[in-house]
Amino acid sequence: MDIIFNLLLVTVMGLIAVIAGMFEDLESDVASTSNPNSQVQLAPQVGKLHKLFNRAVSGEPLLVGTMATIAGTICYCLLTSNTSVIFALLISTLIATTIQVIFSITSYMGRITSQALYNQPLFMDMLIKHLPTMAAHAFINLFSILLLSYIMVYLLNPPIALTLPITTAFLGIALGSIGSAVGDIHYGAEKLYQTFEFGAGISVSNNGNITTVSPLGSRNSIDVVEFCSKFAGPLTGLCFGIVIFLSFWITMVFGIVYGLIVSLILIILLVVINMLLERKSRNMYGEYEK
Amino acid sequence: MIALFISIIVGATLIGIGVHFIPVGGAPAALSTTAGIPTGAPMITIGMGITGILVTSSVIGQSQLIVLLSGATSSMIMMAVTMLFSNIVHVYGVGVPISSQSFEKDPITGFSQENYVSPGTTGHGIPTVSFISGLFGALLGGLGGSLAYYSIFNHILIHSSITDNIGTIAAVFAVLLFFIIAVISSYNIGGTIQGFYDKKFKTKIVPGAISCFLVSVVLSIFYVIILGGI
Repeated sequence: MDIIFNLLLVTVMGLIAVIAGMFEDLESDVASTSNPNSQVQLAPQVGKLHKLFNRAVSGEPLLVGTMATIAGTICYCLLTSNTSVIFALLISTLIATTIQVIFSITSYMGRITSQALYNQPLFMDMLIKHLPTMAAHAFINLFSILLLSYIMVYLLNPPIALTLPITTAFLGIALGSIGSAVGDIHYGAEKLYQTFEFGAGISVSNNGNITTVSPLGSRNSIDVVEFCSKFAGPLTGLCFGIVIFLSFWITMVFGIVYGLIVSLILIILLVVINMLLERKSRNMYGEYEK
Repeated sequence: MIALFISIIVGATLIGIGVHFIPVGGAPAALSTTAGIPTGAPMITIGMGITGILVTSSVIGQSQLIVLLSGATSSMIMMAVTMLFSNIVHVYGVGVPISSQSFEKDPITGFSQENYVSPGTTGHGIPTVSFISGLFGALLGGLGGSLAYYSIFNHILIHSSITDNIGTIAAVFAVLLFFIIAVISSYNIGGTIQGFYDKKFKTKIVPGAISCFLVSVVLSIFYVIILGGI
């Protein structure tokens, strides 16, 4: 009975991780956090004034890790003072989201005013419009990380040998690194440069020359999140979900020693799948004309 | 104490060498301007190391070999899944074939590279040889991280009066190693690298390994002083 309960828990953990990953990537798109933000930052310098959000101060892993740690620490304090679990999870996520909103406002204002030299205006309407979308994504993301950590620390049997704040920090950093390694490509290479032809990398000579207009009016970051939610967001979620699910499922089902062998087989399988994908991409798109 | 000292030196040096094997493209890779994982070397290394330590902390009661291998395989799984999904977004989201200009021909698949690289870029995605190099990097990083975690955990368990949250203390100290060593290695790499088959790799690995070793000796002294005191 115990093993069935554990397996159910691991499945639920995988599902929560999918949601966390999806919303983490979309939050980084709507608030323009990670690597592609270099282009948003560069755009005014090449004469492209824009109405996109501009926030990146640190890498995605460190931002998500920090916010998750704040949520985890507050939750841990509330739980030790015998607050009910749901209340503790919600309140701590809410406080962490508020901090992230404040961070976004100051970060956006600081970044945009630093570009006054290139005549980039600071749009208050744009700031006010983006914050609720950003906050909503951040709330779901932080709540999922917190819930996932809570399950790992308090419900799983045997639990992991870590406390709640550290687990949230670790999961936040791991999720941030997956989010920036997987989801950002769709935003950076495709959505930011949508006026360029589909099916090519962005040439260095085009750096900063981002798309600033949409079919109706200026492009904003809510257009970006709508676009990315159709492909890169769910895929990032799936990636993080698979990582979390496999990390616990393998040892739970096959035991620790056989789990190592199964892990190795899985890794070889992933190499083969990647090889097939590489071959397929070459057959599908062909060579570039010189 | 000597075991702890040596374990941290070996663990940190392994992490440092492992970082050099990971194909990293940085911010340009997020625009499909260059091949590799589209994030900074420290970011992906820390993420990979943390996944290893999360799993290590759930099997910590086992023998040393099992603990080390568990950390290494879970790091490898995280790296493999991330690289595969990164490639999927490249192929179906951006519409580019996977290729890199860092080498003429992939030695494993035999695919020629140059004609599949879009003009004005130096490649996109993670080709098979870089993929395998990344897995090797994850193996070394995972081994190093779990070795450090295991030795710190056991040191606190045997030599200190602390009985609660030993796993947490050991995990924080082990993850800190990743933060420091990954940044040192990243400075040495200086931009992008496509794994062991890259021409750049030969010139970078020796100074990288030596500098990581030296930094790990200094770190290890600090660790021994701090852990000896608690």
